[in-house]
Amino acid sequence: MGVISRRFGLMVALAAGFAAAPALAQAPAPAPVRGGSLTIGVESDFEGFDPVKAGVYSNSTVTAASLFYETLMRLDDKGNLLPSLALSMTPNEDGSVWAAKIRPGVKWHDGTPFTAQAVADHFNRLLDPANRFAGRAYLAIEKVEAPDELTAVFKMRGPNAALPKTLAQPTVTTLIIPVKQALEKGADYNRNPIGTGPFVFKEWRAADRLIAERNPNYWDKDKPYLDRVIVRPLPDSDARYASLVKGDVQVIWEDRAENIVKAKKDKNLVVLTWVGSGALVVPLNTVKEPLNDKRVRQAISMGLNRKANAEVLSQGLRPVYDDPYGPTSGIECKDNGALGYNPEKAKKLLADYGKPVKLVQTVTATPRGREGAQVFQADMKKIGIDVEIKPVDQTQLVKETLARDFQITGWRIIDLADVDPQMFANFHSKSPINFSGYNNAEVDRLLLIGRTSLDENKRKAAYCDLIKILNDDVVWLWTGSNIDFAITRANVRGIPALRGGAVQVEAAWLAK
Amino acid sequence: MHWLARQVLRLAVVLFCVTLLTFLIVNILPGDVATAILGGLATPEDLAGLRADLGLDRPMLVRYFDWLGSALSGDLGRSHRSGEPVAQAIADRLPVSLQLMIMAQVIAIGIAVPAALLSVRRPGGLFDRLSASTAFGFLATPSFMLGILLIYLFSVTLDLLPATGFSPMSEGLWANLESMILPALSLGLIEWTVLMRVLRSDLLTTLKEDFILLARAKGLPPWRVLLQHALRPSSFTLITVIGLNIGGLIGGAVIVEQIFALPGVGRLLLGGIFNRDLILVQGTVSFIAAGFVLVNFLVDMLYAVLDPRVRHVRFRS
Repeated sequence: MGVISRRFGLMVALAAGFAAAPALAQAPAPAPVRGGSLTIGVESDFEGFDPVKAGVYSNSTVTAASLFYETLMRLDDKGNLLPSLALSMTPNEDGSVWAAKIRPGVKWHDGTPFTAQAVADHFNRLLDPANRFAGRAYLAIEKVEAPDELTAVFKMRGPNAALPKTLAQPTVTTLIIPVKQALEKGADYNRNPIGTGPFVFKEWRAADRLIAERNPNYWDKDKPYLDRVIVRPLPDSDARYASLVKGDVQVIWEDRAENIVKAKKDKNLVVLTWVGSGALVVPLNTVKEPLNDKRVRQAISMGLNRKANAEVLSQGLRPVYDDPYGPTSGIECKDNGALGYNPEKAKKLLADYGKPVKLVQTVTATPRGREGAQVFQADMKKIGIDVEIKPVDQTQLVKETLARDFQITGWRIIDLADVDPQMFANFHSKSPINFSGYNNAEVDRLLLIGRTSLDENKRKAAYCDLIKILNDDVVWLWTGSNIDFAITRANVRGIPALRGGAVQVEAAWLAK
Repeated sequence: MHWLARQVLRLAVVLFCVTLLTFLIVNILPGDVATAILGGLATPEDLAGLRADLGLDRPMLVRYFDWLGSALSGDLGRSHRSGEPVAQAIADRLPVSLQLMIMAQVIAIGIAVPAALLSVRRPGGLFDRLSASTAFGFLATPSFMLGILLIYLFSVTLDLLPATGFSPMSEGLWANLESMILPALSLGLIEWTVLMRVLRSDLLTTLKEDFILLARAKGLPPWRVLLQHALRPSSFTLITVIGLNIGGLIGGAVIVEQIFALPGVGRLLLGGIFNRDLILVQGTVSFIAAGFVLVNFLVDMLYAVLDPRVRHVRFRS
């Protein structure tokens, strides 16, 4: 490994060393009460717990997987790095190599020791093209080595400042599984997970419930507080909410505005809200006519009343920002170059373009997809653009989008702790996921600064310069923030920020 | 025996058509299981590789006849998504769906028969009109809406029954029944309406027959005339409708299992459709189709039990 940057290494180590336990969403809280069983209602059944076999994790699966699996680092509610399976992560001089100091004495649930080799095996398995793990497109890691039992060395494809934060958010990629045991158990492992986490897997009755019990050998001796956690897939949102009101479950993930508004008025319930990074977006295909003309794209941006639309679509619950960074990314730009809502100017731009504009908008064939498309269509009609709505199945939308076979589509920049992986993948001209076909040398340069600079202020400045260009060029439209809600019974405490929509209960407890 | 052979042949033809049609429909749907597994960011090479691994790159008919060959030997294949054997997945979830449908049917018959008997005692009377209005009200209510209303009434407001979820028998008989009452009511309260109207209509016809007049002339009380003389010969259409309604009940079960989060076959099928898990959908639909045909076959057999004339004709044929 190269020379470690002392300044930055110290910064990460200090952040890890001095930070307290994750801040609780429902402060002030008295001392946690031990014991009890907590049932969480989630939206969908679980894909399985082997990332290679499951491929993707929904937020329901991350909720369940976080019971058993852990990440190397973790984040508090303000986005500060905390130690978890790694005590610290330190980079070399240019950030192209990161060394993770592994926490000693941690054991897998089957009693075998957790070592740096397990970390290397986990990530190398995901990176191996033979395993076809699609999430590797977002990983800037080349390979991971384990020079000794307690040091895992991440060799990056280039300098990378975002790695510790990227590895701190629980996702299908970052939640570490024991590859050796997974391979030994074969297909069974996907349904019988083993991890290092606060709860031990007991039973998974498909489509009904998953049961986990307290890990008595958990490395953080104080936790978990609960004896048992049950996760139940409850697909119907009204029935899920009714189960919470009745008390059959104590926590639910929820996205139905009516239920959230109702819950806010119920003194027996508490609504947890998390506005993450990323955004709901409407990508434009910048290489196809008429959207290859900047005037048309700008007219669309100025003709779209995003704030009024979000108000209608989410009953005022979903804020709209002029960038895809969100309020929790730490990036605050004085000037983001947003064009604003200006239908008169939009009409002038279209008149200047001189040809009638007809567009096809591809959306998912769901009520949510259709509603979003209808308000878009109505706004565009006001400025003289005809929009035809093309509802398709989710998998078809993904297929057409990645093949650049669209004019306007619906997408989402997911909530990640660092904006680099998504911004780079979506807007760098050489990225295979840049499906808008956008090609701008200055944007590429700024994205590289964001990815490689170890100077946090320089990174933030680069992302602010970047958003000015993207807003002026109107590559994608930011139509709403990534907002997640969970509703709990009033006696549930200690659930941290709902990053990525996952409900984590390692520090949860039930007040008397 | 000839009749039985004809029924078996019919079952085979229906199943062949259903499985082939299902195969074709699922195949022409946009999107596939490889995209569902690998997610939105998969490279075309990865997608092609996974399709090859799953055997999805072979011609459609070759895949169909491969599947059919295995299915005939009892192997419905493994789910592309979870790797679970499809036959095992169906076997695990079947008890839940069967219990749901049986309880729904018991509720439906339990309401329909007394309601029809009471209605024909005084056709056009208060009870007859009231039951007709109630029946049309329920008939116009979709099961998903009725399910939510029942949850709010019996779980949230009255706090009598759990809102969602399934308790297996191993957790106790009452716990099990408790978890199934509302889902079964969601189906049964809609199902009874048709049964009641059909039985009422047949009873009214039967009550005009000479043998009923004779029974009355003998001085039998009205209830004995209805129960012992009129009900049995009026039950043929009822039984046919019960058999045919199994299809509707299965469709309703898919929705009700989703609302009440019951781990039944309907939810298995829905998950398979969302994930484009062709093998799972194929196996589940074939199984349901076989079940539907089998139930109607049993209904045919029941005619013979109820009516000696049918038995006689079949025996001769």
